[in-house]
Amino acid sequence: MQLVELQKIAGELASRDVAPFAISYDSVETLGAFAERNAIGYPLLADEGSNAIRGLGMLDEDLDQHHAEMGGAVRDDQRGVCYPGVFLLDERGIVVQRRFQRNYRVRESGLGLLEQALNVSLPGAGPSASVDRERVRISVHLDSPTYWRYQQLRAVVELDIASGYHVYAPGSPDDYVSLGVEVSADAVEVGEPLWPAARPFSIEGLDEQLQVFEGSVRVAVPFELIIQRGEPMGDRAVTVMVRYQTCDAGNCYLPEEVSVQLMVEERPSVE
Amino acid sequence: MAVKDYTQVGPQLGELFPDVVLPDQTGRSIDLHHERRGRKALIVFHRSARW
Repeated sequence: MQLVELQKIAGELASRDVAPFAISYDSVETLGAFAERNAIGYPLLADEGSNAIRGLGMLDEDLDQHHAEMGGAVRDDQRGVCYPGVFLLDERGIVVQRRFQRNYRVRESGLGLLEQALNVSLPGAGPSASVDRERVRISVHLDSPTYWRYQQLRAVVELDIASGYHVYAPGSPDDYVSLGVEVSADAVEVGEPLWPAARPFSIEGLDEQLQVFEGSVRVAVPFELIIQRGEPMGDRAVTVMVRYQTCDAGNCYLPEEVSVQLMVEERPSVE
Repeated sequence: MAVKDYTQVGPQLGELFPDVVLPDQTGRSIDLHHERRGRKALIVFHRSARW
């Protein structure tokens, strides 16, 4: 579960000078028992009565709708729940990143959250694979070795492009093969890739303004594995396909595709 | 059914996160901004530790 995942990366957070906090409408007693059972060392704030949650504009007023979509009714003790969202504050306390889950039952894996919030890669987070090609080395990893129902995972693709070469960024004209990353699995919902900033580029003698990536490029693609109710637990294969074309100042090489398959292990839901 | 615009929910980018003072799991009162002592903060709103 999310709070336990966050505890696992407490060291990573501390080394980057980030203080974690969790907020919910649970009572001190509930959180105390939970913290003890799961060895949670960071503050779990108890907003019993949801006054702070309401004041922050985080009270989930669509609970009935969410539950209707999930095929269940709202219990009275679920009223006052907050929207599941994550905020990153800078040293001054200013909100510099905020993320909300598309579906309120989707939960972040702690590592994915940290990876995106701090724009760092944490090797060893999940299964990984690397492929060496001419002019480019491609590394792919998932941000968690395991998943549970409704967990949001991320596939992270890193390209190390040899000096003097570039690949075209998404949005390039049709006659250029721009960098593409596709995530597939048996039943999966894939979100929008997060692209790094590209560099403007023009070819001598042409008017076109192009966008390219050079050096190290990191792309993260969020996805969620769909598990049907009653479906038996099992490992799942996730395929990540990377398509690109490397060019130097004068020449482009043939477009290439690299595909890697990574396995993730299902864990029982805590619910 | 109206789709919630989550970009409008909660404290916005560039805003100072409001003061929050709440008890933690031990019952100790925590002032969020004071507690982070000039560090960055990751604030996770979660539904419940019970369900």
